[in-house]
Amino acid sequence: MSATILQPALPGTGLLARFLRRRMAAAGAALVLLLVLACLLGPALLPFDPLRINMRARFLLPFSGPHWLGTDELGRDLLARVLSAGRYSLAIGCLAMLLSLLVGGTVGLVAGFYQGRIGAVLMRFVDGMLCFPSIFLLLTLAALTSPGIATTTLIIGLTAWMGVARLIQAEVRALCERDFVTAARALGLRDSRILLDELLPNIAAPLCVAATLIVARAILLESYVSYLGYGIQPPVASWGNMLQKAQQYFVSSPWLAILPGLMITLAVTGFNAIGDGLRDALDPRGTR
Amino acid sequence: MSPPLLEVDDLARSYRGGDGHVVHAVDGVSFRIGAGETLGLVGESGSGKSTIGRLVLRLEQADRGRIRFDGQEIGALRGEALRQLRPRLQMVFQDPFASLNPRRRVGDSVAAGLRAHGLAPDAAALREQVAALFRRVGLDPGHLDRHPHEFSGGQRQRIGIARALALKPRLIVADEPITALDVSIQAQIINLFLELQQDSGLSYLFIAHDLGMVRHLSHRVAVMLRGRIVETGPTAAVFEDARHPYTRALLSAMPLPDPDLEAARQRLTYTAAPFAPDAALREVTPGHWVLG
Amino acid sequence: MTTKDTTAPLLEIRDLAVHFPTPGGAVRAVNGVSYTLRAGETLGIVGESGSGKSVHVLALLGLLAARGGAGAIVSGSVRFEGQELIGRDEPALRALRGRRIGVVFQDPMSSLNPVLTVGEQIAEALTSHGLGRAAATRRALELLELVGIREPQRRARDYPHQFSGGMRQRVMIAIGIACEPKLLIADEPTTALDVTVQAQVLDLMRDLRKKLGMAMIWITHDMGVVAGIAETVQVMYGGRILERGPVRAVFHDTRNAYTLGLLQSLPGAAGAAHRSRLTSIPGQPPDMTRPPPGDPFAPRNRFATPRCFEEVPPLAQVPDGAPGHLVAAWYDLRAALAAEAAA
Repeated sequence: MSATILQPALPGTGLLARFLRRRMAAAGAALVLLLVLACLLGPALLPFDPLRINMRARFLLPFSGPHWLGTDELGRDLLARVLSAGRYSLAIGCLAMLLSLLVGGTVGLVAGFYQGRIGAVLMRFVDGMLCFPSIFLLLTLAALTSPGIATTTLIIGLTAWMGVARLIQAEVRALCERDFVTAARALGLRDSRILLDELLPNIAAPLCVAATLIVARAILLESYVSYLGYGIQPPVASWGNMLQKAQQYFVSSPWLAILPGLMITLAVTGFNAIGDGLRDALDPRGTR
Repeated sequence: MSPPLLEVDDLARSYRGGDGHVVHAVDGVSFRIGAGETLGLVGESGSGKSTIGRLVLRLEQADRGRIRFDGQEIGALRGEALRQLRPRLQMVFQDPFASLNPRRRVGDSVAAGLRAHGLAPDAAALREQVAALFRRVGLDPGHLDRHPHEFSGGQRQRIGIARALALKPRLIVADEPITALDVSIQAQIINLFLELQQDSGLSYLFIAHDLGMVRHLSHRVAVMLRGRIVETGPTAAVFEDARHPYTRALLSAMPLPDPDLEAARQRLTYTAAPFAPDAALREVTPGHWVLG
Repeated sequence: MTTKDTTAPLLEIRDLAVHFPTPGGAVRAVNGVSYTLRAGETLGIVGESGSGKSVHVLALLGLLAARGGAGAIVSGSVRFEGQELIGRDEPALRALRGRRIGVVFQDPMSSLNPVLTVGEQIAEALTSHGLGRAAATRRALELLELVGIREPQRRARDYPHQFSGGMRQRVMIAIGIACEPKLLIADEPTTALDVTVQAQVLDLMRDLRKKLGMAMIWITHDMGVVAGIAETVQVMYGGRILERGPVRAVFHDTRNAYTLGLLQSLPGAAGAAHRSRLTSIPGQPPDMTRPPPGDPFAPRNRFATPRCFEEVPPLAQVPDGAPGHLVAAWYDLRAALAAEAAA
């Protein structure tokens, strides 16, 4: 009662302002926006088809003619390829993020709310899943399924949800200690209503943070899988399989590897910066 | 005489502490609350008074003992039967900042119970009912769509009371409902409690450590010490003719808002001693029981 | 051990103001507070949240930033033993805190370091002000005994979590008085404690005050606590002092409507029959981003005159009151009450 000097920060007020005040976060958001726009619109605006082979124009250097960023070993326009590859990488990143939020969020919510046997069993399962190094899990799953966009998304989503589950479970546990949840129980609200109306809106903030961080991770995982030949299959380009092809020509044509590598770095950095900024903006003075 | 609204017999609840030893939070407590009556429950922190509130509300399960409410055994109700009991027993909390969902409109928080029990035929009727509840507790019904952070502590406590009233309960357990409020607001909330009781015959289990407020509001008082009731009886009897040494120490420690009375005050000390194995409540004057 | 100098005040505060810039406008927490404290005097400050009672002492101690009030704009003058405190740098203030001014806060758990024993923490307060290690350890035991902790030898080796709330607060008091300060500032030190424990701590403080001859500022929202411990009472509201004076004058010859409202709203007040309506103060405390232009209490005051809404009343001696009984009011409460009784 005594040392509250200022009113507690109001949830939501000036969230955008607080977010944008952080230079890294604003830069990350701009970067991601730029990447998304370029990948969405770029391929349609460019005069080259990313799949069109031109054996007379192989290994063209960047900035040396109509192909701005040069061509690859089959004479395909590199800019068109890297942008259309971005569509797949970003789409897989986002879909895998949605999938892991759905699975991890549900598991976390249920395990946090039912802290008895159900919660214990669920969290032990999460711990078990976390015991496998996710890259081996990923590769095992990838080796057992036929490669493609859907399966890649599914595999990445299913290896990335455990972190979300843990985060949300801890968050929900803490919320369940709060009186408003007790009040909801005393009112005789059904569990489903408490979960959806009382708890879910209060975990939206940590879910948002987790979402951006998972997109970054999923993009990285997609490139691992594709690099190892299990993910997106040629001729369709993804940043990972472009890197893989490029390694054969790394000495003679390093730009073939540098370009997709740079895109991965930019996308991952951008999403991570958004995530960090969101986390700070949502929680301006430490967790209460 | 009609049977009491709430009858609690030999209620007990223990917890296993972090280091393995068992804490008897509530250890064989019995009391009655009549319709339209207020029982004040006082005692130091950790004496088990809040646990009693949660046990009566069936938010926690007792280890042993019987709870009869309105003629019905409720101690073992589960699932849908327990859910159907909820409307008749409600709670008002201490911290008006933690007891409202920060992300929901206050009108929705008040309406949640009505919705859950299908007590409003349609959205318009629901809104009208919630608006009436807002007026009832002295709030502007125009503020239904606001969020909790837009209200002061006292106003939030009124919202919490409106939420409890929505289901037309017979008994409200109020756990330190004014402790967190500003001094100038406490009397407002106490007056609201009194008014609601006069209008609708509510019963209260009023848990508090502010002895002055408990004395003012309660018909009867129970004093708790280490999970047991050591003295209970009509308010005047307990406050003016305290028998148990702990009650006497407690009353002598009560700060008095008058410098002359404060200067003249004799503080009694109570040295904690274990309860005698055969200690039981004995009636000293009609309705006034003392552990001994 | 104290040099009794009755001429110069120990603490002299002039026009202290504290404003916190926020996106929603400045929070005007303290708006021109002036008072003096004699050596050895006990001042009780009563107020509710937002009254400025805590903020103004944090400001003079230089502790605003540490307590979540970074970026505050502090103006005015605070002289302690003749030295100006406002604008002094942190090392200078730190040397003063603990050594010349002891501080005890409401929540002992967050003020104590959980990984150091209680004895170490008291000794640390002493060594940081120049006492040797061995002497500090000896003195820590004396202090624990002084604040009424039994078996100090053994208890000094315990950690804070092994103490009950009341015992932890005693440890905080031991740290607060370790260097025998001239002034002890206690901000709601008994609010989180049980009634019986609160009474013990109050007794302890009355006792220590006599033994050590220190002045004390005791901040609370509880009129009962103030009645028991203070010689001088100061009632604050909306960042201003509304009434101040000897404790009996303020309680028995109340001149400000807010003070009266606080006293009348208590369940033990005269005329409050069992289970009758309490005389509550209507309305809500002011929003300190937009405090009322005149008397901050005017919007809730049934005796307010038109002038109360426009002009801030000065804090002035009550014409026919006890010496040192000051009130800030444009209305004459005694006359208003008499008129009300006649009507």
